[in-house]
Amino acid sequence: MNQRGLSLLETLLAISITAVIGVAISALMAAAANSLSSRDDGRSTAIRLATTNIRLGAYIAPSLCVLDKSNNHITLWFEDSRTSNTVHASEIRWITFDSGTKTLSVKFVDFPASWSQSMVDDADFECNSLTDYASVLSSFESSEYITTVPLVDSIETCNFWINQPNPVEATRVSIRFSLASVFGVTKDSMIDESIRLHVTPIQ
Amino acid sequence: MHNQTQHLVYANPANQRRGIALMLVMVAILVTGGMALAYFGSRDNSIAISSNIEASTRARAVAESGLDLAIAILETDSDWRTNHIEGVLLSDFAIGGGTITLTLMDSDTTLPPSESTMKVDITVRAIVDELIQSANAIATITPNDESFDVDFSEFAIFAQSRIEIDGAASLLHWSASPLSFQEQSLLIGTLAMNPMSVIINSNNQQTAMELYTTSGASSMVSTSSMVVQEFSEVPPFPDSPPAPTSEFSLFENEFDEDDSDGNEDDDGDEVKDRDEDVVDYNRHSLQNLEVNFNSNSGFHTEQIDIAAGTYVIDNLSLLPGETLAIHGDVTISITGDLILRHAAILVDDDASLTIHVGGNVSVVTSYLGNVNQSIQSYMDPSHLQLFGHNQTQWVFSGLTTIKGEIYAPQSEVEARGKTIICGRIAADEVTLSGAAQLLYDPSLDHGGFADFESSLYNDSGELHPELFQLATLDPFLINEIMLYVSMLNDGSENQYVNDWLTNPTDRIHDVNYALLVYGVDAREWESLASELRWESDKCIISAVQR
Repeated sequence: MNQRGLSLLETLLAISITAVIGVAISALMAAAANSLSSRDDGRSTAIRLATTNIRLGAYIAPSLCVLDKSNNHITLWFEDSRTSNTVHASEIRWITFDSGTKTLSVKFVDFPASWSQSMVDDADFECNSLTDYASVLSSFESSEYITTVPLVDSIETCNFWINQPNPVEATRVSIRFSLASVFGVTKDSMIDESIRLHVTPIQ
Repeated sequence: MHNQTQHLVYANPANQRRGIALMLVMVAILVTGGMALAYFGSRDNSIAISSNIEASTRARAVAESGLDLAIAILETDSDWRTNHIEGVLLSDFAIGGGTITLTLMDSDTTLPPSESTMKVDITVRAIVDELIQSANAIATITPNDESFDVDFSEFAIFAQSRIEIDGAASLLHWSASPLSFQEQSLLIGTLAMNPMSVIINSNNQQTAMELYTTSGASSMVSTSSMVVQEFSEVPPFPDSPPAPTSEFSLFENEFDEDDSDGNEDDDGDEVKDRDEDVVDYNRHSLQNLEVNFNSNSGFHTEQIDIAAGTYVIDNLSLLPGETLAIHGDVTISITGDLILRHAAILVDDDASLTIHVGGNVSVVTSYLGNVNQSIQSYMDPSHLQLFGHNQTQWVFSGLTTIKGEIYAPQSEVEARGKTIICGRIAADEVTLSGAAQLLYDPSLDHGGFADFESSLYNDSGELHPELFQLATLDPFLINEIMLYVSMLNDGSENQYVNDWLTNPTDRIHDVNYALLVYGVDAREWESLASELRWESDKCIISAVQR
């Protein structure tokens, strides 16, 4: 009997074991890759969540009060740069969610750098209790004096809440939103930020 | 045979290696698999990312705590104005699991704080696990110099016997005041006890008011709905400070000249010399003011410049087009009437004007205040004080604007027409009618009788008995009483010092601040976005032009 080489049985056994191990390793690698992608997506979402928190906080916390609010936008009196205790157009920030571009962005009145101070003073009108801030935005947008800074993109849904029926009296702003990711839409996240020093304008 | 076969099997080395290759392959696969897993595992930085997010959040909280700490320091009597290195008050100060660097800069000079700093830019840089977050604010310090404030300047209107606001008149906060953002009620007060002593009939009056009355006042002292507070005791309503007399003018302006003579007179001679100077000085004053103010004399001028000093005159009458420009600290004592018709009194930014009026006041469509006549232009009302001394009538009418304080405890003050008074009124009777407005400046409020926690009241909530000696706003007497009460307070403070372990540091100064940056600077993003936008527009325009 020739003892050299492998018997059929040994060969079959070796092949089948190799095949089983190969399948197991492939499955393992696929699972690992999937897990890594999922984790990567989770990390990306976490970072975007933290970024959203920081960027919205940078606007809401120093603001003086909320001027107007709807489901997909909030209007803030960001500063009293003219120290008039009244709201001027250039002191307003519109934080809006555009469901088309899925972007949360901030808009502000931005007069051309070439303008003189008197031209700015004339155009930077004072608002009062009857002012419709959405119209103010539209008006400046049509004049192309609005600059937009995107805050967060790939937002699927976004809703704003405040803690008072009258926006001017609100001291707390909540934003509930979900993010679009590779694995679909994330669960809703909530950011809750307070206006640190609440001041209402003289109107 | 069996032994031979067995011998052959054992003797063949190939037989001894059977299965080894398979084992080696399996071990190799396991090692490679393990290495692959270890590699993929090493790529997982979730923990590091989570740590960063957590540290960033903590850093923001630490920055905010640092800001609170900065405000607390400014509220105390600590030596923050001098005890810093180039504005850095705290460096790598451990707080809340992180460290902060607290920097203060004088807002007006953009230099590190000095002895005179009252407005500061606060920058807090917080570091937690190498992550940096910032908080910036601007703060205004209102020092508590423990001086007495007994002139009722905490009240927009204080009247001995009657307050009336009717027609379209109103009482509001002065929006140009640096402290107008404080959402406080406007205070009005009266010592009247009769019903209907305070009448608010104006439809224009929308700002909430708080009425202070004496404890014995009728419950119907006002029928308007407003919060009513009661003084525990009837506070003294002192007369105006003494108007400068001849002697006062002499010592203020001429005394140095006397001394320079070098004469070693005895007391009697010195008094005589001073009396002679009184006459000279008054003559000088009267000449200057009468010639310039009397338009009938033929010497008519559009603007009369008044330098620092004290002036005593009989009457002051400014006719249409005439302007009195005040430079330096000026006091004018008018024994008779003050009459302004379409005229103006302009006070330089670094000047002050005190007018004592013995007679009636009639101001029609005139302006008293800083050079910028807009009511949006702020002027500290305490830089223009009008004191009344007798039972007289003060009437402001037409389009009159006054940025100042009116203190006339025996007079009836009426503002009508479209008069705007930016400051406050304390008088016997105050009437606002027509479309008159009184715009109160909260920065005039330094406590006083309306602040039951102030040093005017003792521990049992009663006014210090010494205060009832105040017949006039006599600075000397006020100073004496202040010293006495300070001594009493110092006694109690020493007790606190002994007990410092259980008592926090007194925060005696008021600090008003506005948060500018929280975490990251949104203005910087906007500035970059704006720059980018207008630069790109410029490029497009130039490209089109080319």
